[in-house]
Amino acid sequence: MPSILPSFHPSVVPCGAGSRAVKRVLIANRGEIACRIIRACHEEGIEAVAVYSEADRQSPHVRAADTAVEIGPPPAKDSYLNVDRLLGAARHSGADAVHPGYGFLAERAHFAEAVEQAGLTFIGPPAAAIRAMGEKTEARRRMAAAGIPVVPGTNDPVRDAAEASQVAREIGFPVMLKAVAGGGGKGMRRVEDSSGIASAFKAASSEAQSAFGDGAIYLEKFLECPRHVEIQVLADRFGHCVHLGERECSVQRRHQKLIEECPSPAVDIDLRIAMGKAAVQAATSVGYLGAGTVEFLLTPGGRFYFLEMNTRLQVEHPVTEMVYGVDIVREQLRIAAGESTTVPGRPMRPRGHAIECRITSEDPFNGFLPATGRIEFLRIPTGPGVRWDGGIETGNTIGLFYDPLIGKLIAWGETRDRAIRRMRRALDELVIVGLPTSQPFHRRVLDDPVFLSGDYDTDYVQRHGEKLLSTRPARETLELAAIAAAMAEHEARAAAVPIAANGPDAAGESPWLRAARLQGLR
Amino acid sequence: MKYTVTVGGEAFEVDVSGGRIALDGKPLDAQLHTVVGTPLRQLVLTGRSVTFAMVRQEEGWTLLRAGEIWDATVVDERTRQLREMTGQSVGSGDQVVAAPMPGLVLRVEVQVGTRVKAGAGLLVLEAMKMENELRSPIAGTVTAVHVESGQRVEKGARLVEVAAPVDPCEEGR
Repeated sequence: MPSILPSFHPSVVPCGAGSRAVKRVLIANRGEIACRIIRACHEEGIEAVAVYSEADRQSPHVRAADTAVEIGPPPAKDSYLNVDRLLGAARHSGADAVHPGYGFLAERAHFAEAVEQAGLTFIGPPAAAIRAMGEKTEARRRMAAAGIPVVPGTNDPVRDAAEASQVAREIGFPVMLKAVAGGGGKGMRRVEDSSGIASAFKAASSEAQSAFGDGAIYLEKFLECPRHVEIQVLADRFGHCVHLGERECSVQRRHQKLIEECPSPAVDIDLRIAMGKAAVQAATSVGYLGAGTVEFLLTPGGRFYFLEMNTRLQVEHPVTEMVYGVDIVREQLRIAAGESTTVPGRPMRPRGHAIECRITSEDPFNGFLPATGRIEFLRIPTGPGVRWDGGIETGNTIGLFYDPLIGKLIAWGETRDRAIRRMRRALDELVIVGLPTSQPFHRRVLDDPVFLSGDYDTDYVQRHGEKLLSTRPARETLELAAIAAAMAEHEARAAAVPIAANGPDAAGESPWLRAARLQGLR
Repeated sequence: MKYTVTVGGEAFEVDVSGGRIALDGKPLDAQLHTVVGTPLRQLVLTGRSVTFAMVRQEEGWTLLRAGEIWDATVVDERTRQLREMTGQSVGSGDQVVAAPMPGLVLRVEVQVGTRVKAGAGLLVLEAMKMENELRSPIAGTVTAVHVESGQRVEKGARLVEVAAPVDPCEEGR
């Protein structure tokens, strides 16, 4: 495979390097990310093995792959989270490597270990790196030791509410209680003052216990108006660890990201260099390998603090790909196969601007409640600078078994303003009939002066979401809808009446003929 | 044929006969083209063309554009007159809030007679380990509550009914 880096000399191969066979990759995932990974495999001349649950027989990722193995009933614990079934499918299909995607087992160290023990290549970091970053207090200790700024707080779990209260007084309210095993906003509570700490501790601990099987809680100072800015890193087996700049992910609701941008409107070149350096240090300090993301909180004053590291491919990786011209999944495949990353060690300059809108099967007008339904019709936006990473097709049924993400719409432009205009245009082109989605929320954000200014933080959706969603359509739009509805109704009735009256006197005349004539008369 | 179309809380009178229509008495040149094999319909007016995805419902149409979804009730003149005579409201807009998924009713926040605004919380349903607030789709008065807290419900179960005010101008949306 061609590389822009000089080929390595065997005498400098560090321990663990050397080429491994990555010729047939099993994708232990579903939906859009499975489709994304299969595409990368095919571009590299690698065969792809899809796995699917009974609920996913009709899913596009199954047909996109070269081989497909059914692994069990719809609940994730019986299929996509079942390590034995996944490894069985790998054996059965002759796969030599496993790509975990994101979610499901992607950040479970025991899965990475099981894959390697089965003699397969895990396309991701070593289990030890996953473990070091997965345990939040362990990660904080390691980062602090590596000289990376962490949010003030405890590097060990707090024993009880009394200790939490004491620490909180030392570092100052408000504080966040967080699950040591945490992620995804579970087991997390904001506490304003000492009166609320006992009940919050109890709630966070029990939520953490039920979500992760570990009720341990630690404490962090609550930062006011932070932005969520994360750095993409890539590390290969030759000691190259490089970063691909930042992504801005502050448009989020209950810690779920909705819109991401690259670059961040809040990051200049000096800050990018500083954050990039910290992210590379973070990755190096845990012996990282492959693609990973170091998340930071960025304060209005420009200070940044390590939040956590996601030891996997990120949902929002496409915005970085568009701006840095790097195929991150391809890099993962190369690195796993023992090749070097194609990304040069010197800092790369962002080219233009990219935005991603996560299209989810959630109804923004009903508190983002997950919606179910059948995709009756789908029209995907196309044209210059537009990318659709989807996992649905017409006829697919969207249920409640899995994540509501049904596709990602990504737009690139020479500047942030051009990218925003392009995204508006693309959102206007997107048609999904069959169930409500987050699409109208995105379309409204892209007209919102606060978002357009670029001056927003992680409170954006909470502060402005309701107002955005209560905007009423222009009267002209309603007029057009009313005219279309009346005309369609009139037409439907005209077409229905003669067929309904199809009696003995009309015998012999085909309803198809009559329908065709009616169409012609219109 | 004259139709009363209620969409987005506003009522319009649309007279459709052949290729000519009138909107609230104002004549317009309008054509509606179907994009064959799709739910897309293109409305062409003088100086204006707009495409909606349209799905027929029991009494009217659901229209989609750029992800926005509008439910339009379409009632012809004769039906409207009949309803006026029998005292029913036109395109009544009364709503039954049903469970969008199976779950557990955690809290009921209204009772019969509660006046609610559009978007007001009616009850909290726990499903998929998440607390989901179900909101009123319209402004109006709660006419029935079919569940109580602690009750398990199946998808589609009727939970709360909200009647629109007789005069839609009485309470804004």
